[in-house]
Amino acid sequence: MNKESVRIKKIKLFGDRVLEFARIYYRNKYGLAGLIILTFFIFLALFAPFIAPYTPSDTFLAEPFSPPSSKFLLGTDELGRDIFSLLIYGTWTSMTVGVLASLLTVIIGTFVGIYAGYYGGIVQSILMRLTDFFLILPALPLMIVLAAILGPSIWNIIFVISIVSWPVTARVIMSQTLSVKESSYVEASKALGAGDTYIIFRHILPNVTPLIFAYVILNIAGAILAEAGLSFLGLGDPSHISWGMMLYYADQFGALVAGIWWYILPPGLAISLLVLSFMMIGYALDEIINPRIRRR
Amino acid sequence: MEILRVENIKKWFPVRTGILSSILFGEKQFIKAVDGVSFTIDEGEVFCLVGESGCGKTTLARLIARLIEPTDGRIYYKGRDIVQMKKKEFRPLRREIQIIFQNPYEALDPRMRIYDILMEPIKLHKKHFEGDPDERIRTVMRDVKLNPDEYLWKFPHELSGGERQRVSIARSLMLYPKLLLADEPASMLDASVRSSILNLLTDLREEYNLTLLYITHDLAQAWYLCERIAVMYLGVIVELGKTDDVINSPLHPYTKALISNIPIPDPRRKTEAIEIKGEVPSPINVPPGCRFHPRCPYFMEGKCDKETPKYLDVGDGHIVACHLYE
Repeated sequence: MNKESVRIKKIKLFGDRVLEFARIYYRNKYGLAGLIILTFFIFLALFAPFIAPYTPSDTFLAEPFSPPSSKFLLGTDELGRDIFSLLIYGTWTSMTVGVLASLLTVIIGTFVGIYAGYYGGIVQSILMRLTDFFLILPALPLMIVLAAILGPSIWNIIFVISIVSWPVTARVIMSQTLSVKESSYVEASKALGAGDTYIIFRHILPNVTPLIFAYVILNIAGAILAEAGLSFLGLGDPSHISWGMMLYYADQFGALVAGIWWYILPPGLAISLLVLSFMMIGYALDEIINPRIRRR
Repeated sequence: MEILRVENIKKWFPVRTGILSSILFGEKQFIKAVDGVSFTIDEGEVFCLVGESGCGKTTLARLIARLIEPTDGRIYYKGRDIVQMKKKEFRPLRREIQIIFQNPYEALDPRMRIYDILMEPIKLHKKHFEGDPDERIRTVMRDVKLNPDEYLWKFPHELSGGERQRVSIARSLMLYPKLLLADEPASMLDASVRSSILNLLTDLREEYNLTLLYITHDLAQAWYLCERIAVMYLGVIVELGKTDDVINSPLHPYTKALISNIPIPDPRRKTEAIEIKGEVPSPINVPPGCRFHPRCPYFMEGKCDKETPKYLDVGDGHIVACHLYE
């Protein structure tokens, strides 16, 4: 068997595993439902200009707060903008912030978690105290203060969300790293002369990857909620319309008091639905990846 | 010819204590896992370390494989002191000193296929490996009696305990080792699988010209496999000698007790099992004098609990540390 055939064999085996994974995932009803909802939102976000009847800058100043009609499917806001179109354009912002913030969170968390878990010592102690610190601090006020100081922009919101949420991920990754580090197969590698870098990339990282995977997805849900919360409080990026910001404007212009339900319900429902879809996918992945739960 | 010489090796693990207790009790406490062990192994020999759990056998193996650094003492491999050696200098020697672990369920990375597991030694020693890696993997798999076509692309969780232990042995054999440290490789397996692993090791020893340091808590396994036995108790060797000498005429009370407890499949033969009272003392507070004295049936007050017994050679390399023979 030569090198080429080994590579072909490996690719084939990898394909088999992906198919196997898809088959198991397909049997998970919640996971499937979550995936369908998510696909729908991704479609909305990607093709917003083609689906939405108007753009966020199209204002019909003569028709503010008009109720749903055939012209405006979900009515209009205080500037006479079509809420249905705002909703579709807002998908992109909510989703991008959620995904990027979650990725950043997990990248920082993984890096710190593996480093602290593998090398231990002072880094580990500092990380532990830092995690405790962040766990004690109420996250929302901290995010509000940070966002207010840094100023409104999409990137600042992503940064603020990650800074607040990485310690939890770091802790989970660290505990997994600690258990992998002590295993006999790492000892065997060391007995063969493997260095730290080799062990981290060949043994520790592959063994925490499933965990990372599930955490990214579950963190997206949290990040979307955090973004909505910050935007609702008026700390969002005014140049990018998001669902949270729609709620902020609705609140500012008294939609709640005046009973203008078509301004409040759609963004609220959209947030809930998207978060729900990520949660369902996350739990489905957790169930598949964690064999102890799967073989119940 | 001597391949390994261990001289007065010690490994003390510091006990983690809080700030309060370190102020109250002052001095630092240590777990004396290995506390001054010396022995030599000849090339091609099968040498057994026997002792109950917690006596420091595994720590000793990890010291020799240089997975941990000793607190004190020397280890000479082929006359070269490997304790003093720099990590870089020692790395090529790692090919020659390999270790097999006790728990086959923990010894293989669950996310690697058998092919990748066996490829690892070659990857780590690319410069020193000659020949076709794939061919080598297949040969070694056949050597450990596993069919390469069947097992090569499996994951460890698809294998039984015995098969995993064979893969584990195969990995240690990949780079033609000289000294194999086997840390209770058969103790977590079923009795039937255990004997097949023992037989496999015996075969491999001939094929590969191995020197074997076999660690076990089971004197019966040592009896079957080894040429010389060292009995360990609480971090020290209490008796050492040729297997027949130690089994047939044990000197140390602890060895006597262990041997009297080997079951013999002969109903006519009556043996009286000597019972040792009490538990193994904590390696943090090692009893003074002879470490075995609190449990010894021949305890002599004023002697055993005061003086540490010296090693006494009773002939033919049979060494014992006990006041009874002075």
